[in-house]
Amino acid sequence: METEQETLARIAQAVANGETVDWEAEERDHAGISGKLRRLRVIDEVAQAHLRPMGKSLKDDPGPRGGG
Amino acid sequence: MSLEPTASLLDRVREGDPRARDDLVRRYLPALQRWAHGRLPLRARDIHDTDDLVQITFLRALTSMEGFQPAHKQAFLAFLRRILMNQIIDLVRKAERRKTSEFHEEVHRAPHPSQLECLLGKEALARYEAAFARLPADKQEAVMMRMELGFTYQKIAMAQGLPSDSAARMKVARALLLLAEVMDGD
Repeated sequence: METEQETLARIAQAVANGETVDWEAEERDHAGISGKLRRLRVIDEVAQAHLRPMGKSLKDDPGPRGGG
Repeated sequence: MSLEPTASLLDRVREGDPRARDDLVRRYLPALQRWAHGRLPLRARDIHDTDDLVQITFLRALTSMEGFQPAHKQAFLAFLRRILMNQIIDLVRKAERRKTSEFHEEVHRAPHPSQLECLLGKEALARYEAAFARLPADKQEAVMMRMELGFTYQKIAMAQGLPSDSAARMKVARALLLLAEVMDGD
């Protein structure tokens, strides 16, 4: 069972790696941290708005597997 | 591309090494120019070429290295971002004033949004910017490099002098968590 801190860390890493996050499902499943999840979603959208016009995607560099 | 950390390149720029200066320009200038394009409303671009604005700002920052605080050296990109944001705000104000004086009927028209404001909405971008400003400079730089410029973890590790790609990956994720923590509202 994932703690709330672990959930936030997992999703922050997914955002940083450019992975697709099922935001509705995460917010539904983790109602206690839904506010922070919504803010991470804003950050995800900000990144996409910056990078899409540059033709860039963070998915191209998901980072070292299992590292850190 | 040089593998030298940015802080070390800045030391060499300060000592007058032109190759270090070229390395820094190659490392950051094109990305910053692309970044500024998304930030500057079309109307403001009319009065100043975006690429020139960024290039002049960048070179001025390098020229005034003597005045740099160590904190700036450790987060040079975040420092440049702050300067550029201020210049963009000034340019937008200038463009609005010019428009107002030339076309009186447009006095009450809302300012043209930037490309980013169009994509995100003004409110979301303002919340992000306010939270971003509250981060420590090195975390600002990590977020900017990854989320706003799309740098690889390898390049972030190199620029920030981190020991590995994994360290850069962790640093960015932690910075994002802090950003979410300090962001207002839901």
